[in-house]
Amino acid sequence: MAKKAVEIRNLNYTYPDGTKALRDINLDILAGESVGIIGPNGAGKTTFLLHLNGILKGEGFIKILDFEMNGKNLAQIRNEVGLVFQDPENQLFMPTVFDDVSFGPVNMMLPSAEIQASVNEALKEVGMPDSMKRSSHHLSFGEKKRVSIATVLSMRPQILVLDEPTSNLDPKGRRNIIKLLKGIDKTKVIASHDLEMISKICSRYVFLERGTIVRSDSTPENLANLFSG
Amino acid sequence: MKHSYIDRYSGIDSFIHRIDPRVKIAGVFSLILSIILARADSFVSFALYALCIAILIFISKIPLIFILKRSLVVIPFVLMVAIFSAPAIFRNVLVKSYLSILSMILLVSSTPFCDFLKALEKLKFPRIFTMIISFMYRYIFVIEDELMKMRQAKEARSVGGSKWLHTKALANMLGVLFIRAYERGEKVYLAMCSRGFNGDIRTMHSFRVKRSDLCFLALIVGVLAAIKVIGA
Repeated sequence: MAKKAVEIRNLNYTYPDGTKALRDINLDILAGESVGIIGPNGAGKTTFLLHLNGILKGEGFIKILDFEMNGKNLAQIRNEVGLVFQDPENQLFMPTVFDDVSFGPVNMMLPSAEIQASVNEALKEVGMPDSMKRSSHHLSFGEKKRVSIATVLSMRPQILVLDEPTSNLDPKGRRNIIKLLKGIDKTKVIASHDLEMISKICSRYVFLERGTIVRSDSTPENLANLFSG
Repeated sequence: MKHSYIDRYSGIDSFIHRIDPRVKIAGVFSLILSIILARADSFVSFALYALCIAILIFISKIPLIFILKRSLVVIPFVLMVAIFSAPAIFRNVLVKSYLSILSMILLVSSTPFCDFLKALEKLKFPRIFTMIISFMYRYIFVIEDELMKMRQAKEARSVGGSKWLHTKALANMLGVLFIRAYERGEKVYLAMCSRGFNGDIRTMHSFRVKRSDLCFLALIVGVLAAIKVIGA
């Protein structure tokens, strides 16, 4: 049996204002698996994702690869879990694309030749190898989404966590992102309302509602049919 | 939405654009310093400085009209000085500040803004300041867009109503804008933490001083010294 990439036991999270956002989440994700997190607005999808690299700390047990989630392992976990936020304006905060994509590797204190190599590789993977010197705010929305993915690929994480990777994209941009994500050979956790995308990329889906997992199964041919009507 | 960026002409290929940003900053800084330290009654030296700047602008291939338009920003400040001072001082301040602002505009618009910031960092300018400027530069247009959208949403629903009501709405909008900017700051911080940020700002540089850069610096310093001698 494949190794567990993510192991979560009895995860609960309450926002400071008292809202219970996650209740008794139990989930195992195997290495190499792609899991779609779906559910209505406000179901706790983003909150859940933010637990995967320790940005939010709920009660319960989380283990990422061989590292139990605690203050000591935090840096290691963040190197292994690449989290891409929904809004690329938040993900891209440096003046140029190169600075943004190299931000992670520079923080990992890799030697500069290796940083250069991983930036090249990441930008090539998302199909934007010639954009290194461009300013982040001059990119189109679709390009921003791709560079956002490159910013974590450059850290060569084992697990890729994406929040709404196809939201607000035009049909072509959306197809490109789907193709791009399908081609990335890593453990993937994707939260989205785009059921078609989830059925294309993920082998399994988890349905969240009001902070609990109400359904979890392998994805059928067309996930949208399951929830229509 | 299109914005007018401060470094719109930084992509031109000219001798001035190719100079190492650090050398350019040092050159322009010494130019401004000698303009400020010039004797107030030495019109020859002012004319020579102006000539010097004109030549640099010409070499840089940046449209003159762009630089002249940008240079108007200095006028309100000079006028403020004018209210409180004698004509001789006013003239002195006007000439010196105008020449200085021209040099600054030449520097900033011939250098990609991110290179300019990195060069400042290399020149031991405190990193926290360059980071703040860099974030400001990155997000000012995002926030401007947010304000514009909010205003449009307000306009779309504003039918009649008193002036006082509109003013109150504007005040609320500014409050909301502040909170949104604050929350965006929080989210950006989380995105930074996700990618291994732990409080130390690290960046990569790849500048190299060429021989032509040193020649430029030597030339500038030589010319400035010559102007000092002639103007004295």
